[in-house]
Order: sequence, then structure tokens, then C-alpha cells
Amino acid sequence: MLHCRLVRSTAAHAEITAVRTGDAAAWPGAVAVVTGADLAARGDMAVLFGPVLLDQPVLAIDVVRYIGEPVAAVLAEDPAVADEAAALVEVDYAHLPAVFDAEEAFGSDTARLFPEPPERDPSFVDVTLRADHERNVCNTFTVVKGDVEAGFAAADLVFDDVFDSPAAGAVPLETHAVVADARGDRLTVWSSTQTPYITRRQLALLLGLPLNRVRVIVPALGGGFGAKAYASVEPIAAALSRVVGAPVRLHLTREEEFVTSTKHAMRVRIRTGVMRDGRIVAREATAYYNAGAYAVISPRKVMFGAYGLNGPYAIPHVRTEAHAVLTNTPPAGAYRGFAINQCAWAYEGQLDMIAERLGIDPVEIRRINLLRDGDTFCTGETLDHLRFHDLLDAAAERIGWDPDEPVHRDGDLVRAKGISCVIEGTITPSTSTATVRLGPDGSVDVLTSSVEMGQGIRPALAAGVARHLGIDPALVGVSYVDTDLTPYDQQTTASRSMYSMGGAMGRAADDALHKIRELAADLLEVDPADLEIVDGQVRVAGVEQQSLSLGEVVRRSQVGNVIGEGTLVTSGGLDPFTGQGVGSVHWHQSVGAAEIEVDTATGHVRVLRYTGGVFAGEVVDPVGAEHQCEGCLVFGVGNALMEELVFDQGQLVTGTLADYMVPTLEDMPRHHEFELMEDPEHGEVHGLGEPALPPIAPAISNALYRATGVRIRSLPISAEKVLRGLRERRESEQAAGQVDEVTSVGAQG
Amino acid sequence: MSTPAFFFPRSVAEAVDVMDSYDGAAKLVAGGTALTLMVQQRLVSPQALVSLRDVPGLGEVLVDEDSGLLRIGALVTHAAAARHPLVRRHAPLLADSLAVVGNAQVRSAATVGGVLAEADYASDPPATLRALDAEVAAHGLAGERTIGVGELLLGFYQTALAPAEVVTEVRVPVLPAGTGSAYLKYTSRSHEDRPCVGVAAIVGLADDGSCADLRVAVGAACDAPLRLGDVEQQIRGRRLDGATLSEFADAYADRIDPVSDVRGSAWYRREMVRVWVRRAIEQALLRSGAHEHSKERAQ
Repeated sequence: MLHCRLVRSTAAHAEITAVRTGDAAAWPGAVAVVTGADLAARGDMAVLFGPVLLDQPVLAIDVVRYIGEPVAAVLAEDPAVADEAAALVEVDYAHLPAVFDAEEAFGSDTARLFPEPPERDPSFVDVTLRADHERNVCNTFTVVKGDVEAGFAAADLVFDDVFDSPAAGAVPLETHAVVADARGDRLTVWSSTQTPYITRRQLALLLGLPLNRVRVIVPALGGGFGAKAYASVEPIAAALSRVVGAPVRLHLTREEEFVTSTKHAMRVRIRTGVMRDGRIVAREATAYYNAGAYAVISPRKVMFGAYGLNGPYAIPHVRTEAHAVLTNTPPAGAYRGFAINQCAWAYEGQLDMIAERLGIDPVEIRRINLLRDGDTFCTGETLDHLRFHDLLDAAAERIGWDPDEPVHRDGDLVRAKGISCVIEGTITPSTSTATVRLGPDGSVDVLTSSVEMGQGIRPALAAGVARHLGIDPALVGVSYVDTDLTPYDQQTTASRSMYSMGGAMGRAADDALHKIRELAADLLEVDPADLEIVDGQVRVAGVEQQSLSLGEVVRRSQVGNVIGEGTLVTSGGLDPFTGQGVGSVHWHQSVGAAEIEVDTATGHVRVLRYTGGVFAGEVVDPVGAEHQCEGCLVFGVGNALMEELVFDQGQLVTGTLADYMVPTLEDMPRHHEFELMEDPEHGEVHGLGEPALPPIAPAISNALYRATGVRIRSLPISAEKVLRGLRERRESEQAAGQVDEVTSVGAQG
Repeated sequence: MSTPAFFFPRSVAEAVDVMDSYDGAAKLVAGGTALTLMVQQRLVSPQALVSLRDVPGLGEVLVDEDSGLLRIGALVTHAAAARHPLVRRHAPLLADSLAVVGNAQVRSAATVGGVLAEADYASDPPATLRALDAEVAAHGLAGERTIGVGELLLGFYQTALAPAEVVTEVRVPVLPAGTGSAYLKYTSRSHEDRPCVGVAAIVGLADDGSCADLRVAVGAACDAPLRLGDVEQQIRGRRLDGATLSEFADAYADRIDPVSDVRGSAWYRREMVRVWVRRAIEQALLRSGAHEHSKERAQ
């Protein structure tokens, strides 16, 4: 097996004028040095990939589009030798105009990433593209409901604000890793992917192989959080393996991980028209999602962004538009809270400014506007099973919300509470298939292509199947992913697995039980309709003494095993010009409430308490569900207070874990609590990987606003921004001749 | 880039010789926490790494009764020094500073000699050692010399050490009984971040409650720990009331030449110096002899 070390671009946007590989190739132990031009010259593989647009080169060809883009690969049996040789590769660049900010890149006169529009991946069918590469746009999505101009005309007040979210890293403990073996007429890949079947399709297209000759094996991942969705390192390893005729391993360093897949930076201008009684009557928003240099999944992300900007409110007149804009920064990909964090940061922050201006309590203004059963969402869907009001009231009670509660002050320290509500869809349409295999000893194999990445999908699926079959969960074994063996699943993203794979699994279990019933009827010489299956026992209805366990049925029938299969397909989709259709098979409903303390001398914010509420439908694995919410809390506090990929002319400044901060346990609130609201009659399981996340940052920001009157419009809520806000506020108040005691404390320090 | 040669000398003299033979192209390895990162990120590419692991006598902690110095071997780790009874008794300020560096993994490897020799501005112990008027013993080609921490730390990653000079010991004057001290580390982002600002303050009060001794060093906000001797001098004999502390903190804030980095802009650093100098002195006052009762309550 050969180890790969990549030589990465040091230019943000440039033509490659020369790649000198001689010294590296001559380095003792170096087996091969490969460039993008080398791959293109072979003619036996495609050299561009991408889940929607075939725009990303396996290794850069002629042009680099971001600092950190792979330009050449060095292979050696010893990874240290590969490192040494890689340092000897020299690349010459002729710089091109570069652009880093999405709004600047949108229609830029100077910088253009793609002179020619890239081709589409032919098998990606669910996104209608409105790409416009002349304007650096890889997709635009628009949602229109009602008559937004009429709405604004009727409004008593119109609020117009700009909010920013920065790029961030998912920071999985394990960085991307892949081993590819393209020897012979097959390709086998061991990959840390969240999307095994999509990756298989992408690799098959790249190497010109039928799907069944590409095998993707996925062991347990050390975290994913979206960053490992869609092919990224796999095409490199696969192409190199074909070149050298040996297995190739590529395992990214932490520094490489930071430039491989990021959260989208996003800027949104959001205008909201309200009546004096607090009703929102119109919303218009334009969002620029910074896609980075390659589209990856940004074309789909803008759909989530466009309807996401509506928020969980019944607004009669809406026009939202989200652009995915290409810039000379690392590719942005999927990221926990897919496009919604950035939306919620804007609309929930603005809503508290509206509430203050109108003199309405922040909880009350949400009660007035939250969607109720029967309301029409901006997508035209009539919504049901809405529990926003229950979630909000419960969260307000848990945090001890009191509209008249004064801000708590203790010297420089000021405490207050904040709240926020968020709606989020799950990927629709989507498909999962599953196989359940009952053995003669009563044990059960579950074959699934859901990826275990620490979220606990394997124990959760085991619990679900055990409950369905009425057996002990310890009897259920859940597979890891191997596309040669485990059936199709679309992807492990979008908090979809417990709904989609869980649903497919339930159908597979039902299918197996149906076959068990047929077999048991023969064994017991009764009509299948006379049998009932209770607690893993098959018996003639009403005759408890005459029963067979599931394993006994398999054994005595001599069928070897009983196989049940299940598929769950959801349908829907939205028109990209109007946003009308079916946006999501169900809607994630989430509420958060935070109590924070700000040091007004430093601007430093601590989260003292946090409580969230999520509509879970039905909780399958209570411990795992709680852990998912706690994971969201860590993510959310990091996003809110410290996480930011800082770029200087395209060069990442916070590219190590000494520079890029993730929260530690000391940064977590001392007290937290999550409500997982259930509705057993609804009988639907909602995924919990993401829903608790998006309300966190706005809840913290809203608490800061209540404590100090300082509105932070750009994440993260750094201490410095808060202190500047306090100073500006004090100055404007002094100018207005009304010195506020609270804010002057900060200045005296 | 090639793999550096690795040496394990068995004496300080041997280490000095090896360092000398590489003429500035070798790096000493003590705890390795900083060096490993710098090598990994290719900020330095030493031809040789010279480990002090096998050099005897660099891991001891003792109090020299004659000189009144707490002597800490250069290879003593932050964690070991922070929990050492002699350090805790005779230099609690240093123990406190070492205990807040990075995280447990870093503290278990990083050494008190290494943190000074590296001279990273974004570090906690140097400011404290500067406030304590600590010295280092260093062995070089010309034999041993002692260097005050103030003279040792010249700027960003710059020291007065010669390329073939090895820090062997850190010597800390023991504070008189009744002296109050505090190190306050302020992190602007994650709790385990490097300091945005760190302030070490030492306060001794006269019987009449006036200030007999005030020493303040500000770390992590500029190229090397900042002490303003003239400002310290001016405050002696005065009562440390709120106005005096503000005046003192303002002097540090006004005269520092702060850095700008991801932990805070120069503007913010200056404001944080103003806040944390004052808070560190207030904390030190609470721990001084004049406030024994408060101290016990605080603990």
C-alpha cells in the first residue's frame, strides 16, 4: 500500500504555469509524483467530479481556485518519505483576480471562477439548476408567497437588517481518511464517507466502471457533521490507485481537514414588515451563501436557505432568494444544521429587535406569529402536527421566563435570558432500503447502509427493530456499510436516518414477520390469519400455551433464515423559481432558551443555562436522543461564541486547533436540559442530529441583547465585538444625554 | 526537508557541544509541546534535535535557604511544578500560573525551562516569572551565567540565549510573608485558548496600609512581558484605592504596544490590559497580609 501526501496550492486563484516534480520523483523512496495534467493525459478516467456539477478536479488542472487545493500527489510506502518528497515539488503560478466574499463575487466584474459552465452530474436529478457561472453563481433558489410589496405597503413598520455568519469547521475528531484499491477491473474503497452510495456513483462515473464493480466499505467514523458527505478525498485515492496499480491511502492532517469542507459563510439582508400588534405581514430576504471554489452540494443548500428564511412563522407575504456564490475559498459543504443556522441567526435576531421596538415580550411576539396546524408555509404546503406553541411555552417555563424580570447585575456582570424558535426541513425526496434477517437461534441481522459516525444510528436502529419484532435488542446486530452487501441508502445526513432508514427497517421487519407467519401457519397447521405475534412469540390467537419463538419458526421450517426487505421512498420537491411544492416530508420544530452572563468590562459572554425543546415524534433510543441534543449544544455554543475560519486574502489564518477554537467542557453551561416532545398517535420518528442546533446561537445573542441592548449581527459573538457594542451604545446614549448605568460600568472597568 | 538527527546527550556540557556543532541549526527539546507544533507546521526545520531527557539533575525543585531562592530545574513540567509543595508554599503565584497553561496534556509535558527559552508571547508563566524577578541559569560555551527574565525575553520568540546555551534552572526569589499575589489569565475565546491577556500582580502593604511593594507584569498582549518599573515606583507609599488603581492600570494600558491577533485587536488588548491589571491587583490585595480574613473567606 502506498501513502499519499498532497501538494496544495499556495495561490488563491492562478494559472498553473509549471509543476516541477523532478526532485520529488528522485527522492529516495518516492514511488510516484502525479499531477492533474498527468491524470488528464491518460484518457482512461474522468478528471472532474462533484455531486451536482462536475466542476472539481481530482488534482488541479491548469488553474487553482483556492489556497489549499490539491495540485499534485506524492506516493511512497513510508508516509514520512511522502512528506519529504512532497516538500520538493515546486509549482509556479500566474495569479488571477481573486474574490473571497460571496456578495462581492456575485456578478463580479473582475473575478470569475469558471470561464465555461461545468457539466452536470447526469444522475443528480432532484435539483433544477439556475446556475449562472458568468456571475459566479452555482445556483439560485427563490420562494414567493403572496404579494410581498403589498405586504410591506400594509405594514406599520419595516425592519431592514444585514446579518453575517462566518465559515466554520465541522472539526470531526477523525479527519477524512480513505484507502482505494483499483487493481484489476474493480475499485474497492474503504472510506470515511457519510454518503457511501453517492460516493460509489461518483467514483464509478470517474473511473468509467459499472456501479457493481465499485465497492465502498465504511467502518465507524470518528464524527462527520456533514463534512464527510459527498466524495472529496476518495476520487484522489481512486485515481492514484489506478495510476500506480497499488492500494493508495490518504489520511488528511488537521490542517488539510480545515480546507476540505467548511460551513458556508452567509450574508443575508432581511426586511420584515410588521403591524403594531406584533404580527409579521411581510418578509423579503436575499442571502449569499459562500460556496467556496466548487459547488459540491451548494445547489441544494440554497433551497433549504430560501425557505428557511421564512422561519417558523405564519407570514402572508414572502419573497426570499438564496444564491450559492463561488469564491476563492475552500469548498463549503454540508454542515450540521444545513443552511438553517445562518437563516435563524438572522431572523431570530431581528425578531427580538422588532419585539423591543414594539414593546412586546420576545416570547409573546413568537406566540403571535408561530405556525399552527392548518397554516400555509411559504412553500404552499399546509402544515400539520405543529407543536411550536407547546415547545415555546415549555421552554419559557423551564428557563423561568418572566416578561417583567429585570436584568440581574452584579458589579461588571450582567445576566439575562433569551429565546429563539426554528423550523428546518429534512431532505425530500429521499429513499432508504433495509434488510432484516432472522436466524434460527433467534438472533437478527440488520443490513443497512446508514453510516455510524458516533451519532448512535446502530444502537438506535437495533432498538427500533427489536421493538418492532418484540425481542431483546441484544439479539439484534446492525451492519456497517459495504455497498457489495448492504442495500441502498441515499445518505446519512439531514437528520434523516431514524425517519427514513428507521421506516424502511420497520417495513423490512413487517415483511419478515409476514413470512414468519406463513411458515408458522404451516408448522402449526392453522390459517395464517389465526396467528398473532406478540413479544417475539408466534401463537394461535388466544391460545397462549401453543407458541413458537421467531427462531424456532426459522429452525423448524428449515429455511436457513427469513429475510424481510423494506423500502421507504418519500416524494416531493420545490420549484426553484417559486419555491412551491413539497419542501419536506415532515418539519423539524425546535426551540431554545439561554441564560447568559456578560462581563461588561471585557464583553465576554458565558452561557449559564440552556434548555432546548424539539418535536421528536417518537423517541426510539432515549439516551442516544439526549446525546444528540447535547452534541448540538456543544456545536451551538462554539458557533455562537468562538468558531470562525478567518481568511486573509484567501489564506486561512485559523487553520490549526491552536488557532481555531472549539468549546471545552469549561465553556459549556453548568446546567442544560432538553425536552424531546413526543406524539405517539402521530406515530412518526423525527431525526435528532440537527434540530436542536439552530436556535442556540440566536438564543444566546438575544439574551445578550436583553442584558445590554447590544445587537451582534455577525457571528461569532466575540468578546471584542460585544465590548465595541457596549462602547458604541454608551457613546450614543451620552450623545442623547441619557447615560445608562449599566453600560457605563463597562467603560470604568 | 529531511528528518532531523536526534541526540540524547548525557550532560549539559555535551548538549552544549552538540548544539554548537550545528551552529544554530539544532533545536533543544525539553517538553516538546511548542517545538512539535512548529516542526509540524514547518515554521522551523532544524537539522538536529537535541533532547535533554537523559541529562541528570534538571528535574529537581529545592529552596536555597541562604539566597532565599526557589530553584526549579529546567525540565520540571508545569504540572509537576504546580503541585510541588515547595512551589506551592514559596511561590503560589507561579503554581497558579503554571496550573492554567493550556490543558492537562500540555502541562504534563511542557517544562518551566522550555516556556522561557521558547519565548512565545502568548504564554502564561513568563509574565509571572517577570513579576517575581526570577532569573534563569544558563550553560553555554563560556560556562554558566544567570540572566534575569526581563533581560532574557527580548521579543517574539527571541531571547538573549546564545544558540548553544542551555537553560538549566529557574530561580525565583521567595516573597516576604504577607505579600499578596495573583495571576489572572483572560481567554477571549475557548477556555483552553492561549491568553488574550495575562496579568501577574504582587502587592505588599506597609503597616499603615500604604503600598510598600507593587509589581505587575502583563503577558500575552505584546512581544514580551511588560513591566513598568517607574510606574510601580511612583505608586509606593500611596494607598491602593480605586482611583490609584485606575491610574496605575491606565499607565500600563497607555504605554503597552499591543499585538493584534485572532484573540483580540490591539485596541481590545489595550482595553483588556486596563481591566485585568486592575483586577489582578485587587485579587492580590485580597490575598495580602492586610486582608488575611478576606483571604480565608475567599478560599
